[in-house]
Amino acid sequence: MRHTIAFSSLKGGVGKTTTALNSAYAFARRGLRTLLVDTDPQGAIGLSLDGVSERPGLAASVHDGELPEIVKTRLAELHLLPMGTVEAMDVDRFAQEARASEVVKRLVERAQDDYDLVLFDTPAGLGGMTRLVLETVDHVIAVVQCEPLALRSLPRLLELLAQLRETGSSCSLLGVASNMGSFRDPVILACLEELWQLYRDHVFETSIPRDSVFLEASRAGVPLGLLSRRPPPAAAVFDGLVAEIEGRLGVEQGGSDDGPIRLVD
Amino acid sequence: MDRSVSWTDPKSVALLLSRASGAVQKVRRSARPAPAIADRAAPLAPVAAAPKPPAQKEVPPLEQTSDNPSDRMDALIAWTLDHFPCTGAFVADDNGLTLAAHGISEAHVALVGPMLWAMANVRTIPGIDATAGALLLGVNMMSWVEGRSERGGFCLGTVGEQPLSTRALEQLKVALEVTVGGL
Repeated sequence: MRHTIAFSSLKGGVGKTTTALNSAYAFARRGLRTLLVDTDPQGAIGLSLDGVSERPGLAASVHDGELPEIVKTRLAELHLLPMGTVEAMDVDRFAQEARASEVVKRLVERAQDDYDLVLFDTPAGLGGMTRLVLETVDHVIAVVQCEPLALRSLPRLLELLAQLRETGSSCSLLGVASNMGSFRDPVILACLEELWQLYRDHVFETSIPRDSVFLEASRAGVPLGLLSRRPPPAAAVFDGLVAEIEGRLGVEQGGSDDGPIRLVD
Repeated sequence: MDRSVSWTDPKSVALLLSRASGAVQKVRRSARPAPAIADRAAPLAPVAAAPKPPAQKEVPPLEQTSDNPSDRMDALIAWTLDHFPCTGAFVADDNGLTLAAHGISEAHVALVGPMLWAMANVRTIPGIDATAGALLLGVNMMSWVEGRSERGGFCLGTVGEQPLSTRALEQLKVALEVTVGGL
């Protein structure tokens, strides 16, 4: 495994899970062995995917000390680690137990040889699990909804990142992903323009649009690319986004370990 | 003075970005499918250098100083050619009639009408709100945006080796609206 990336934001509801999930799917489609880890005690990935929420995951691992069972998907290159169930009364304590058990660090160590990318979907906010993940990963993608409050909260995430780096963390900002953009709403457009103006090259060129098809995918419990046999046009947005991410990571096409891939193992 | 949307000081953001960013190590695409996590421990990955996104030049907004439609179209074409990766640019109405152009072939001019007609059909599909696009033409990419004014629809397009980015298309759309909005 060469890269670990967290999708984070201070504000909730900006589309972290949607961005992480669909990016993971797009990475796997491009041939990168990808593990998507849900670190949100609410289990956002499990709530987004049909057939996942009831499975044990990171939560069980924190309690019993064993590394959790990975969920395989229909894409050989995409595996999931859901959160599992965290009791409502235990949410606050969960992050403390996760830190004490070093579950995130152990997970990254175990994933070392088996994955090209480990993506972490983090809960909203900068404490608890988010901070624990940011202390462990190499990169952060800040997800920003194109609306004023999300834009105003972005510097808080950067401040945390800067402070972590100054205390020895290797985690750095990989980029800012703008979400729920629309060129027709003047407020959204003003937010987009200000995002580009303030954060310039750090903002990914690919802007994820506001589109009802995301709700359809959520309702169906699938990533956009599996909503139908002919994926909706919005699914292609994530192909563009992950291509940009690969470019910033320096992912090379080919290389010494590249070659024919057996169809049948 | 209008307050910014983010209430954020650009200087403090620039400082934060410099403190929160850095270079990166390289990764190669794997030829192997991912196995389940094995029961073997491995050392932590070496610390990744921090990433540095590619530099991009800032595009100044288009300013129209003339009331003459022809001059405004020419200014739009010149601004487009100056600031975006393209070898040609054109402005057309929504019937495909070219109003101003530089550096594009007759074939490209002839293509504009059918292209806009096709886009209008695309927009009849529920849920599809397409007002920009790109088309591979042999070795060239034609990219275009559409905008409306009281005088009808207009299209601003470019021809170059690469399709324009989402951000570039948005900048072109704003410039087109500035241009035709004053007619």
